[in-house]
Amino acid sequence: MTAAPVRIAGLGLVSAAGIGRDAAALALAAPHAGPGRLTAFDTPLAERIPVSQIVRPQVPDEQRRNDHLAMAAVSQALSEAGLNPGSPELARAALVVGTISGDAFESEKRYRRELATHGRIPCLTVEPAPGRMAERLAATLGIGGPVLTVCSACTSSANAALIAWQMLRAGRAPRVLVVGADVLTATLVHGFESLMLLDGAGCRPFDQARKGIQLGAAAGAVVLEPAGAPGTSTDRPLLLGGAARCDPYHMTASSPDGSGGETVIRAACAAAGVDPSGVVAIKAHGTGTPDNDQAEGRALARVWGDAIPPFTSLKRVLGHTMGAAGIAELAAFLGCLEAGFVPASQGFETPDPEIGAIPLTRPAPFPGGTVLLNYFGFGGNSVSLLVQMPAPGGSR
Amino acid sequence: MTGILSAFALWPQRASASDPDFRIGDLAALEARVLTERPRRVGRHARLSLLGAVACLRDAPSPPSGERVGIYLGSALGNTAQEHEVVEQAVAVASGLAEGPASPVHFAASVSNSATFHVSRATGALGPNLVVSQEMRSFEGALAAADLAIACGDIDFALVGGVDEHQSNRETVWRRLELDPTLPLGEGSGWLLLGRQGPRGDLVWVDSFPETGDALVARIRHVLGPEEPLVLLPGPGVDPLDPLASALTTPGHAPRIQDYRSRCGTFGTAAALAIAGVFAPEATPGLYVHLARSHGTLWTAAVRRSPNP
Repeated sequence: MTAAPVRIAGLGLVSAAGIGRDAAALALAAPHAGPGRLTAFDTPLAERIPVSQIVRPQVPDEQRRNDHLAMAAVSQALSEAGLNPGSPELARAALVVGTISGDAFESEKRYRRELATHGRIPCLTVEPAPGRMAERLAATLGIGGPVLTVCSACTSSANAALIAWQMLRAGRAPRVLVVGADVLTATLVHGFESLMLLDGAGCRPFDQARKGIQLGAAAGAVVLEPAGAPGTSTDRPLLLGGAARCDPYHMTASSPDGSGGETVIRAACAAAGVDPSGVVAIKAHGTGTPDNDQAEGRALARVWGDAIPPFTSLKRVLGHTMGAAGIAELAAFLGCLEAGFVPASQGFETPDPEIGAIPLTRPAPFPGGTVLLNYFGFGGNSVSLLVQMPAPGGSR
Repeated sequence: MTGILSAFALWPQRASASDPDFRIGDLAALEARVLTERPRRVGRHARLSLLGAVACLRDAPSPPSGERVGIYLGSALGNTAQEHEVVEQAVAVASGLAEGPASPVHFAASVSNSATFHVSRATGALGPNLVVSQEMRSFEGALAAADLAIACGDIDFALVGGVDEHQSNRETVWRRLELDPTLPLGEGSGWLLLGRQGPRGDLVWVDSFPETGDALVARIRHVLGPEEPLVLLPGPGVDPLDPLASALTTPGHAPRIQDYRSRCGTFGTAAALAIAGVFAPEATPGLYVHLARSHGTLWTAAVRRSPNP
């Protein structure tokens, strides 16, 4: 089956930068946007570990946090795509969700209450399995097609987008809603602290002094539909394709020589029918960990040599939003491109000679063209996506 | 149609007649027989996954590896035991009830795709590496995703598994999956190696149907060959005496009902054992249809076992 682009008919985003991709683009355009104090739950680490948490919309106590935020993002995406919950179009649509936290926030909240009442007792999860969030979303929206949840670490929703692309190519669904949603939990914060992967100064992707990630929360949504024949002009962004690969070098780190990243980038370009020389900008995964950024920078150099296209990381502004990153960063990055710029890689100051590549230090004009988006995760998971963007001002 | 190159099912057993649940016994002994290198610092879920995947691949006529081989693991609850340990540590530290930090080993092992990482390392499958978690049809979801990737030409082969581990606290399973609390619970690791053509048989479909069953009956009649045996594998929500069986009965051609859950108990991905079990040496050729019912829908996966595997 030949590769075929699919149309990005609608996008939605809720992030630390606010509601909508315009808000994210504004924050990414600001010179010194950065993380804040963790207040989503109590922990002694709140004093010294900055995060990117969602302030708006506020989540009522009785609501499930991921559901509420996901619905806020979905509403934007459906509205832009001209779709309504309960419509015949959604009755035939598919839903693919990427998440690692599911109802974990609610599970932790209940366990905290139990600890406060009973002292140290074993944890017993009784909250629904991770796939239930997708079932609830599908029921609320009247989605009647296939429903699937991907739980593959930080590439979860990027992988979900690839499955949606395949569903459309194979004609398994006329339209697919892809959602990525993850919230901050104590397990994530203390787990990453145990690995010594949190940067107390906030993340500094590709910087010589980088020390780790900056956790974040986000929900993103995208509506994908079949596009016309390849090459057909469109006023909407097109997902040209992508690829997923596994680089099983180490459970928590990619191959340091960049070979794993190179493999997935080349595979994605081939699947999308794009020569790497045609890529005009790159959204790097850029976590700010010493290992990821070194491996990713070297991967870019392996593909493009000395002519790496302008690249940036969004994580100083959005945080590392785990399984949500795939769709959340897609929405935020496209928001910037639609506004006519490739954002600077905030948090970067000093080049790292071990990496060699230098991200954008100030916003660059974006005239339109094909962009690459990278996502890497624990377990060697690697995904690259290619999106063709119309000239700014034409997609909305 | 996607082919099936090999299959492996790691079935549990009852430790004694009085034990309501089914568990897989001595994992270390199995690992010594199957694996060239035992994984370190991993939980039971990853160990079960690794055993099943490696055994499945070893059974293939010419085991593939590399970028064109994907791994698709369905799991309803994942590595719950590891997750519980990490949540206990993290919340206790966050609540000031314990000194930090949490255990990095436990945290890394609790990551949702820890199992597929180890499978990739052991098998050299370097393509897409996915964990699908869709409650009681997680295996069917993984199977559908793998079939789709092959159909699109994005990969040539897929190792597709369904793995869930037994929970000593039964409540965590039946409450999270909305199961009948009186059901015997189980665990297992069932795997298929899919490719474009398979000597063992074919994946005929993974699809959902309205609960009335009429459309499913029509589909089965459409694909069932003359004189081909039909075997129904009733899963969650489908009683072995379900009226569907009589709807599929034609003169001289009654489907056989195979109550596989009496062999393994109920768990999120028991369907993987049922379907991988179709390709066991003692099984017979025919069209096998696994059925599950939830949310007013019949979720089905159908495989055909070739006459001469």
